[in-house]
Formats: sequence, C-alpha cells, structure tokens
Amino acid sequence: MAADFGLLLADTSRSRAYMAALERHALRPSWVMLLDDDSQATMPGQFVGQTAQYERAPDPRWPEAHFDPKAPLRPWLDRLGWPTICTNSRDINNPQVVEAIDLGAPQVLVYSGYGGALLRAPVLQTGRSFLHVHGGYLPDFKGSTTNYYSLLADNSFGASAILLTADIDGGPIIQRHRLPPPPVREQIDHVFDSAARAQVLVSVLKDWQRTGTWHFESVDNKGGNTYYVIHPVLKHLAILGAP
Amino acid sequence: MYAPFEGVAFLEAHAADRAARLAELGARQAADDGAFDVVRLTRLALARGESATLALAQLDPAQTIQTAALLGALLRALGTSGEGPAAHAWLARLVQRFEITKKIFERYEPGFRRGQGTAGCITLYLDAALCLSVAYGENGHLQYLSTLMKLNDLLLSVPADMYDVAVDRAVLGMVAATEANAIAKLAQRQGVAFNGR
Repeated sequence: MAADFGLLLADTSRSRAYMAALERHALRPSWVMLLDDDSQATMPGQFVGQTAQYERAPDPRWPEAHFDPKAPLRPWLDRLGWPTICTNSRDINNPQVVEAIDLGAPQVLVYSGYGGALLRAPVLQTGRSFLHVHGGYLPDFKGSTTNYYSLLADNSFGASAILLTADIDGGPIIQRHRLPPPPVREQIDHVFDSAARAQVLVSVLKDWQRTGTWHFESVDNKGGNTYYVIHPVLKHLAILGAP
Repeated sequence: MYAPFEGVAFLEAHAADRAARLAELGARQAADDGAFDVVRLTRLALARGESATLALAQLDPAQTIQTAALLGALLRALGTSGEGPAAHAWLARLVQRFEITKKIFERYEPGFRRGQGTAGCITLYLDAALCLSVAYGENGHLQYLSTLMKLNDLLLSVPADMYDVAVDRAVLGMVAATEANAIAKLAQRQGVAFNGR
C-alpha cells in the first residue's frame, strides 16, 4: 500500500499545477485541506485575468507545464474524489486550521500555501512533516522570485524540495532539479515556476512511496544567498532575455 | 512579485522617467554607461566614509546601532581588503531590514530587527544606495542591484527640496549612474535591445 500523504491546498496556480501532476501520475492524497474562505481579495499566487495556459505541444523538458492555472478547485477535487475538508480560512496559522491538522492529518503533508505565508510554531509543533517545493535551486537561491534572479545570474531555473522548519528555506533538501529556461518566459509566474515545483514534487513522492523513506540530497541547507522580490526592471530583463 | 509584464516599452519608460526625475532634482547622472567611472564611485564612497567615527569591527548587532555610524563604517570598509565578509554581513542585515520595511531608520534596537527614530533622513538612503553601488561593483550580487534600484525609486520620488546640499545631489547622480550602467550591461548580456542599445 502506497505511503499515505495529505495535501494543504491554497487557491493558487501552484496548487493547480500540483493537482494536475498528482492526477497525471496517479498519486492520490488521503486527506486534503482547502485553505480558502469567501473573501474576494486576491492572494499572492492567485492567477488574475484571462486564462493563460501553456498551449504548445507537450515538451518533454517541461512535463508538468500543461495545466489550467485558473481551473475551479472544488469541482476538480470532487471529480477526483479526494477527501477534502474546507477550513473557511486562508491562514495556515489559524488556530482552527492547526487543530484540524493536529486531529486528522496524515504524518506527511504536501504544502501548497499562499505566497509569503510562513508556518509558525504551533503548526510546526503538530509534528507533521511539511513537504514544500521552493521555486529555486537551494541553497544558492533562497527567498523570493529566485528563478528570475537565477535566469539573470546564469540562465538557470530550478526547484528544490525541502521539509519545512522554522528557518525560512533552510530545511533539509530532499531533491533539487535544475531545469532549462522556460520556453515562454512571460508565463513563469503562474505556469513554469509552478510546473518546475510540480515536477520535483512528483519525483520526491514517487521515490518516497517506493522506498518508504526520504533520501536527502543535502541535510545541510546552509549558505547561499537570500533574495527579495525582484525589481520590476530586472524582472523584465529576465523575461526578455535570450542570452 | 507579480508585476505585470509590459515588454521593452517598460524598460524605455523607466529609463525616460529616471532621466526626467534626475533633471528635476538637479542631479546630473554622473556618466553615461559607456564611460561609467567605477574609480570615481569608490572615491566618493571613501570620502563619505571619511568622517566615520567607528570601524565595522566596533559595531555589534546585539547592541543598538546608529545607522549613520553603520553606513559610515560600511562606506569606509567596502573595497578594503580583509573587511569584505564583515561588510557584506552588515549589508545583508541592512538589505533585509529595508526590503521588509521599505524604510531605513535612524537607529536599530539590539538584534537589528526593530527600527527606531525617524525613517525620513535622506542622507541614510543616499549612503545606503552608495554602499550597494560599491558592493555590486565588487561582486555583481544581483540582490544588491535590486535593492539599489528600490532605493533609487524612493530617492527619485521625493521633493527636490529634500536635497539641500549639492554633494547629496552628486551622490544621487552617481548611484543613478551605477544603476544605469548595471542595467545596460545586463541588457547586453541578456540580448535585450532598448533605447538604441
């Protein structure tokens, strides 16, 4: 029987990339918590505007890039039949969310939260292993918007799976992948950054379910540089670039 | 994080806006990208740091830090052999504080987390931008450039009467030139053509 895992799901394009990848690879969570409420406010990571899917023919270098970053989540979850609880909260640190995790979540939880949200002590102290995929190659590129920085620095793109700790982007690294620069750089935010993370997620979960254990590429995730939200001019240079 | 993409037109508009604001503020951009003088930048930084009362080694993040003293020490230290790691450690702290709060305070409480006093002293922002200009020139760390550009956004958004000393305008021109030179080089490396480049 495949090892049991749960899914903490915010209403973001990344969550949709994860769901598409899990469905594509028949990786079924036994427990899903949807972090959403009735608020109309736009949250970091949510796709706004016209649907912008990656429309080109399947690219073997980007196997997880074909998903709809705006597909409605609840009907999709219903179709998949994944057991889902809805918290009526977008805050992973909300005491009721923490209690629900403490009471019913599996030991391993895939974390797909809102951008910028940090897990505080109470939720970390539930003792669960929170599997998170950072959009960037660790430890070199910690922090925010790191794939734009790495495109400018050395034309690289990456994603790294870690187990979350109180140290931002500092948990032990399970796997990290370097990927080719995305074919459509204007779609990095909602398609390719998410697809890179989904690709690593699938690889990690498959290995874990096959072997029953995590194989850490690097337990020591020290060093590197921390990056902050990239200036729009530099972001434009990264998108327009073709070195 | 999700600033909308507007193509080359955005870069051209940004460059035009920078030039216009520098003119309004009476701050001549020190040089065009073809003749950017890094030696002059370093000399300016050292001159600004000459009056520093403390050396970096005397500053302890576990104590209250007067930001002017920190920036003076940083300006003197950057580019000085042997002080590189300490200078960059302090810059990393300052960058983190500015990126989180978008302000530079008069002083910081022990632990260098909470700022105290005014956050409206233009000289602190100018000196921070100058530190980042020198540091970026030394190691090309893109975070320094990104934060420098955000500082320049602030420095170029304030009323002209906040710059009451000619030397402050000269510093503004120099940090703007650093930015323009860096963007030009990055654009060339990225194969991005704009403004006739």
